[in-house]
Amino acid sequence: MRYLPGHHSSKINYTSVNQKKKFMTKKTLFLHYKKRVQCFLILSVFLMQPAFHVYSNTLESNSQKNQSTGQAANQTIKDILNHIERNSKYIFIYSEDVHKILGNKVSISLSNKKVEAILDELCAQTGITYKTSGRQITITAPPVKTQKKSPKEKVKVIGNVTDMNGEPLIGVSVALKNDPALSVITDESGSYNIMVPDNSAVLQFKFIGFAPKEETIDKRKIVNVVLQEGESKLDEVVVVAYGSQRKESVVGSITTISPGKLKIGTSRSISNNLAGTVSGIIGVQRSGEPGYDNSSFWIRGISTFQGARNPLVLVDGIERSLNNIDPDEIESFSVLKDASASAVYGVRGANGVILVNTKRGKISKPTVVLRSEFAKTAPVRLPDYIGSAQYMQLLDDIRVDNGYSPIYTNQIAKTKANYDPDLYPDVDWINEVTKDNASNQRVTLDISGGSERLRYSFVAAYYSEDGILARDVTKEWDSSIKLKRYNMRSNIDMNLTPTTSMRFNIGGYLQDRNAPPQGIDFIFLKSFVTPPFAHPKQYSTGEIAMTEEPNPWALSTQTGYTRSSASQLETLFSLEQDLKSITPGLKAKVSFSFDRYSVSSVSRSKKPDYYSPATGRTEEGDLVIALKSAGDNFLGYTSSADWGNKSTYLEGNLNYSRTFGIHSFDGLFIAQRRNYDNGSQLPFRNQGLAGRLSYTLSGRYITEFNFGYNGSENFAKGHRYGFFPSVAAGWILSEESFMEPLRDKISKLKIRASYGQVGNDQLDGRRFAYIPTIATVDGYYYGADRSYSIAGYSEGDFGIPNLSWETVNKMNLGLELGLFQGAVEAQVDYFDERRRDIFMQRSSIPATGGYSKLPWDNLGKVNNKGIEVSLNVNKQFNKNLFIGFFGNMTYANNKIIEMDEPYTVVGSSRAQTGHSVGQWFGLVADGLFTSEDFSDENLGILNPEIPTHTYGIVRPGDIKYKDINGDKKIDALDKTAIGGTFNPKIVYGLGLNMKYKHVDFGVMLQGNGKTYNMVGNGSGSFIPGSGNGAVGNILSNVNDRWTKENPSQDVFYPRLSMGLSSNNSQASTWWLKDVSMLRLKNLELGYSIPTGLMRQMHLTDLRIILRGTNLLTFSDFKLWDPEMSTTTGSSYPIMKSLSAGFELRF
Amino acid sequence: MSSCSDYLDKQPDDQLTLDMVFNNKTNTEKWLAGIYYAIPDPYSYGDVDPQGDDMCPSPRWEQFGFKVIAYQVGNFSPSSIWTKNYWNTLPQKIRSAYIFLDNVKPLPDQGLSEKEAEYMKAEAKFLIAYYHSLLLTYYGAVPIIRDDQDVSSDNLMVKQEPFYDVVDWINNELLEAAKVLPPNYAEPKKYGRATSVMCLAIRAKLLLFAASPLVNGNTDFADVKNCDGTPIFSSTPDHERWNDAAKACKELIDLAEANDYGLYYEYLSDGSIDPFMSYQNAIMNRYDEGNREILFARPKAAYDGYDYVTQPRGTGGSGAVGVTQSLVDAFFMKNGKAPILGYSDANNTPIINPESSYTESGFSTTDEVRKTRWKEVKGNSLAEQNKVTLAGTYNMYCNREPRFYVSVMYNGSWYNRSSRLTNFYYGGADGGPTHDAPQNGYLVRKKVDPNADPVNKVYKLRSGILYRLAEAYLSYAEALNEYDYTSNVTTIVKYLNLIRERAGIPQYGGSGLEIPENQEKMRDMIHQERRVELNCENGIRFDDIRRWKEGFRIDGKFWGMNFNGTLKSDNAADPLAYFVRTTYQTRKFKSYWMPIPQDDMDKNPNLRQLPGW
Repeated sequence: MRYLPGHHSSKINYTSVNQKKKFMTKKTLFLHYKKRVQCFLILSVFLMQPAFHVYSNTLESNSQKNQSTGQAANQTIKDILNHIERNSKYIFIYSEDVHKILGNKVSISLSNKKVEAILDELCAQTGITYKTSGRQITITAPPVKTQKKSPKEKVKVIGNVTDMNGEPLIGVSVALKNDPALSVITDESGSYNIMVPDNSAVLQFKFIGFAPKEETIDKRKIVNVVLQEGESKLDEVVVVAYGSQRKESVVGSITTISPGKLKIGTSRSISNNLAGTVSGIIGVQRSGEPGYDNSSFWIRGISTFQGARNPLVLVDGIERSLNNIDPDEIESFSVLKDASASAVYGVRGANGVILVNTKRGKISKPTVVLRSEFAKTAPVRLPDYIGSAQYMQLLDDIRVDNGYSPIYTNQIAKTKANYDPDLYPDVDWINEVTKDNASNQRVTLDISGGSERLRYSFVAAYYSEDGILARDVTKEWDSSIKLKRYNMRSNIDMNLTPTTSMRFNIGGYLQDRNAPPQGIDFIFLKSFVTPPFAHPKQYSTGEIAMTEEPNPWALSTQTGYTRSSASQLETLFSLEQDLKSITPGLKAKVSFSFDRYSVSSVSRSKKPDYYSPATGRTEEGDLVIALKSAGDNFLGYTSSADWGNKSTYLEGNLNYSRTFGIHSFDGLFIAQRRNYDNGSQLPFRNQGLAGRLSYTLSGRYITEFNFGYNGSENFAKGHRYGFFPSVAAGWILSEESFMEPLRDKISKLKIRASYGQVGNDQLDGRRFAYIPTIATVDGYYYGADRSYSIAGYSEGDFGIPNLSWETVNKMNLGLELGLFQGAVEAQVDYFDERRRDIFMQRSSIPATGGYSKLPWDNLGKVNNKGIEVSLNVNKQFNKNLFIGFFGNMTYANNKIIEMDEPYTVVGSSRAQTGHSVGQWFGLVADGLFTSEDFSDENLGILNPEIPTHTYGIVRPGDIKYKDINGDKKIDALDKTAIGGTFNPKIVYGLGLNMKYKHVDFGVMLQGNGKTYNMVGNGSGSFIPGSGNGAVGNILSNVNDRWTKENPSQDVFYPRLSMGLSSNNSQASTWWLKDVSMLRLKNLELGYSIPTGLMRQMHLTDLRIILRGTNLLTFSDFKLWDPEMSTTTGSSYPIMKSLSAGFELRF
Repeated sequence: MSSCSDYLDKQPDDQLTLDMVFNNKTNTEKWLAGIYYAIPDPYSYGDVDPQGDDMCPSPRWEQFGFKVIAYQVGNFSPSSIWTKNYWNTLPQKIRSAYIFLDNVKPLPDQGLSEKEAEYMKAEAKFLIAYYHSLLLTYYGAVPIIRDDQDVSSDNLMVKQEPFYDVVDWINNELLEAAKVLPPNYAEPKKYGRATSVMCLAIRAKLLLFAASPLVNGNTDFADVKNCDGTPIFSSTPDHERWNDAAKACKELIDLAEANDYGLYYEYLSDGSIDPFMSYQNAIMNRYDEGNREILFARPKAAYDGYDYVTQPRGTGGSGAVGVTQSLVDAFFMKNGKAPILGYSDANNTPIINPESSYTESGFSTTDEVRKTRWKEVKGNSLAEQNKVTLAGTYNMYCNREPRFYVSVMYNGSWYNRSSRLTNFYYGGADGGPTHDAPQNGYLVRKKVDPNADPVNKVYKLRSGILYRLAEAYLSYAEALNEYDYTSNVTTIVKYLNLIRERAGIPQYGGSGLEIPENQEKMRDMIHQERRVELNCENGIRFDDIRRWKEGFRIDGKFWGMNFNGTLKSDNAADPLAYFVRTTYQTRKFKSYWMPIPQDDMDKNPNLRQLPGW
């Protein structure tokens, strides 16, 4: 669109003579031009399309005659000139005088007019004059026009605008607060000059990416301003589904956080930085194992007991993983929580949506940021085991208690005397399989820049991490855990024509991992299982011993290594066309993406020679030791087949945005389809339509309607598509005139509400559940020598013809409050989600029916309610001191309403219905038995009034349980809901950021609450002595126990028994521990080298960072890191780290 | 986007339909094979054998989720999981069999003839009946599943039916199937499929159970009623049930013998029976190796795992599944007499049969040699004479009958493959402290390949025997004795002696061993013979304890040798003496029936739990 419609006469030749004549003018012109372009492009990139198009579209020529010309009423001269410039081949040249009035508002009809006609009308209204010369139009200002308007004499104010580092900011808008039309823009050196009506005028400084600022002139002639980086509150844009909206007009529940806030800690996965950082996310990190330390996280907690619980993660609009993105690749991070925000995703949106956009280039000279951080890591807490002598003494003590004679006396003495460590070992297995420290490091390079036509962003990142598993340095191969990841992302935007832009993203990563061939948690598990006196890790003569349980040290160091390599490629291509020629405010966009992931591994493993533990020494002093199993000579070789997954995505969308006076409309319509192929018999597909219609009245009343209409191939024909609507409304009270007097204090007050529906088609357990199946089952062997084998068939699943997706009805009420010009921002959301039609197996059908697979149905119901709160306080005290505080808390509590429990169970003490998903169940401990409870202590006969304990014979000191169902006996029917769930119901974070001169300091604490773990659950040998010395380590709190000498009720362990005590090892309130905690998650100290010094080195910015991660953990639970998913403590620990790094810009 | 409408119209093309199954011979056979799969594997050491008083898997395996230990010690409830889990699994196979009956049809063009289809239907019927009999004998009060119900059917909430109604129904189904099926198959590849002999074997087993005191006139169960109030068990004894059982056994024996089935024997060159090799290989050898004693076998069995857990851990096994002291005590002496008549006190002190020449004190001073090719004690399979015990063997294990040595591995016995003595002492190569060691001083030797090599995973291929002719003989003898001792005593002795002859011990009525003089004494001898001959086989002992209402046998202290002993001594005063009767477990008997899983009790209001749970 080079020409305005109907324009025919603008083909004017210009000559080199003309160019020379205008040389001097052109130089200034060039500067103006450049500034404008910068401004425009920055706007176009950052303000994002809808807001900007309010301007350009209303200026757009329109063929509809009856279109009101009044729509252009609020446009400035500058806007109109810009418009002409963009849509014709003309370039405007104007002087400083003209510049002053560019902000003046005019009212011009643009419909079907030639450039000359528009300019004529402009001249008539404003008094300017123009002269055409080739492509150039020179504009001259009317003489002293502005002075007529203001009776007072104008005051000239000049100044510089810089960022926190003293770097000049170019293109900052400087406007008079009372008359925003009166505005200027800072030049290349960051300076401005503006004429203001009086000495008490207030200037507003606004710049993308910086917090806006107001300054009262207060008789000053020079007003220098430092803008602080951060979200610009007024122009803040929120990334929403399929686009972005101005923050004011958002009525859904969306949390957007700046990517900088995700740069806490040194962990590989960004998922570990969400809990406590993003309100609305319940997240837990269950392991620290390199490559597998991703957190589990759920938006507003869990709202189903079946199927996918993970949110939909969209990176640049494409379904991708969050785990391997480098934080430096991220430009924006939004969490869509309620139905209004996510209904457009239809069947994909039930668990909430996370939108991540990667960095894009801006118009600027190339900016290079190099960042590097090196961390030393160590486990937060490892379980502490007692040594051999203490262990054996304990076993003997237990034997004596049970009427047996001690058998370890000799062994204990020799172990204590360190008599012969080969025969009397004392091994701390956890210590042997781990090193004290590990490390990780990260280097990122971020290059971006661009011109009007082409913008680019290039991010390369390298991350490497060592694990804490020990290795045997005498081996030529390396079995230690090492992980290396290389990320790369290149995003390019290009304007093909003034109305057509193209975007091309390519990104991905390579990840290599080296580790022992064994499962790492298996090694930790076996370190718990093997007692300290079983055998040394290796005899002094080199033999490696094992019992029936493996030697943990050998597992970790002697069995070879596995290398795995994963690669991910992510591409996106999109084309956007401004369709203002059809109707102003209309745009179309087409995107296509192709992603590919693959992983393969090579295992070089061997089994060492294993010996039975030595039984003594010969007279010559050699160990008496026998080979138990012969190992391999060489490292074996196996490699895995290579298959990952690939996905393609195609999307087309139409976007409409237009303002008519006080009425603003936004519309969106998209069509989308996705094909995901992970090698199963059919690719996973979904496709659909979605739309949004938003209406804002007077900038205060906002309503929005969203819908998603989509489906997937999982369902029967005719049942594949679903319609998911949502409505939302918001009211910005603070914009009301009656709030005017309070505006100094309450800068923002907004209430919003939404209600709607989203769905979930990721049904767990069965795909194509509408089709009945024949199951392949175990068959039979015939022939006396069983040589005729026939596989088996049987009835499989029933088909459910009307199978459907799950739906969630979500309600959200929100309140946003801004105080003191945005220095305090608070937000509260209450949510109520009701998930219905959860796809599950019928559990009320008796086994005698003979159905080998219980029929599935859309039956389950779960309610999930909660509240989330966030508070931000930011205060720039003076030029040198900034203090910010943030805090957030999310509470989510779900309740199973229907899970097809048998009706005899529903309502009983055993029912899961009515409790949360993942609720702990167990017996209710009623203290420990005392001698008084027994009529015959030796035979274990209890007094008649005490219910029969059916888990074996009990003795004083054993756990006494409550008879919950009143049947006078303690058995599985007495197990009832106890405590809460393992996954926390409360997650919170709080932190402080300070900056004083060149030093910045940040601290962040993260905590969780209402989380419980059942220690020892599932491991019979957790209770000391229950492994009878053959298996199990003993935690150092062993003396905190009931004994005959100390029959205290207030102990950790009940009476210790010889071998397993079934009674004491039952899941019960005795072993249920509150594992809520508060962690010092991040502690950060930065120092920015003063600018002057940096200039000399041709650098713009250098910041040096010292950081500590997970340095402190506060919890009542001390045995191991409370967040870990283990019931014995033996699992790869979560790590803490100390790191140093720098960030360099040039 | 012209393809919008069909973009999602993808349906997997790898889904079989019922039509595709039953219009194809191979698929039809697969469906049938799927029903067969639930035939129990007798090479299990985690359920019915340890539930009786024969077998002792390491009690310390409980902490690894080995569930039978919980049953043994009474830590078992309707919420516990029984490894056999028949209540939950067998109805699935029964349903599958009914679907088979509804759909199977001849496919002559594919070689599935009319006759073959008839056979297959009868096989399915046999399996339905067999699975019902398993349910009935373990749960007592069960429903009869007569057809395959639709999932939305109102009849899903089944009710339990009177015990004898179920017996009669199964009996009838088995007889009907037996009419159609052949006694055996000529084609080797059909070995293992249901035969008329199998039908009659299961029938004989069922009718023996149905005649036994547990269910025949047991007044303890008078209150056990179904949801209609109908009593499940009959409180008035019906003596004719024994006659029915005897006749069923006789019909089975007749049919089997008429079709070339017979006891398995191996002979020495002088034509005498080698009792060691005969008894050992009656289990180890397969039908195609000439073992015609097997009437019903599962061709594939998990004997490899069984061999692994019963080999001493110092030789590569996990060496932790043993036998109980009470089984050790049950074996006869080589003179055919029972060594122990009972126990005199709470310390398991035996009342020694003075005629038996049994002693529990001291160690043997000489090697004992017998006529056998059994080479397991420093022997040679070609020699006609081999050692049975070595000098220095604890006297408890000396001069016992051949079946003892084939069935029990004790501390200090010769382990031929490693050419050494077993060392079960605490700290010894095969002993404690580990949980993978003989916790009560014994390992199972019966059904175990003497050449099993767990290190190199070499095990002899064998069948899982579910019914052998010896059981029919002993059942027949028992039923006849119960029905009428006086008129049947000759027949009873004939069949008992057939077993004793093969076992290499003196027969009743010959060489100084009198025929038991009355029904009670005969009953004791039949019971002991049955226990010894059929020890550790397929839960027969557990069934017998229940049939005979002898729950006390699996209640209270269980004994073995001293696991913590390090000394070769029988000095009870020394805690380190190994050869001292020592408690290793205290068991708790709760019920003669397995509990109906709590899940189904919760789901189906028409079910009534069995007494004791």
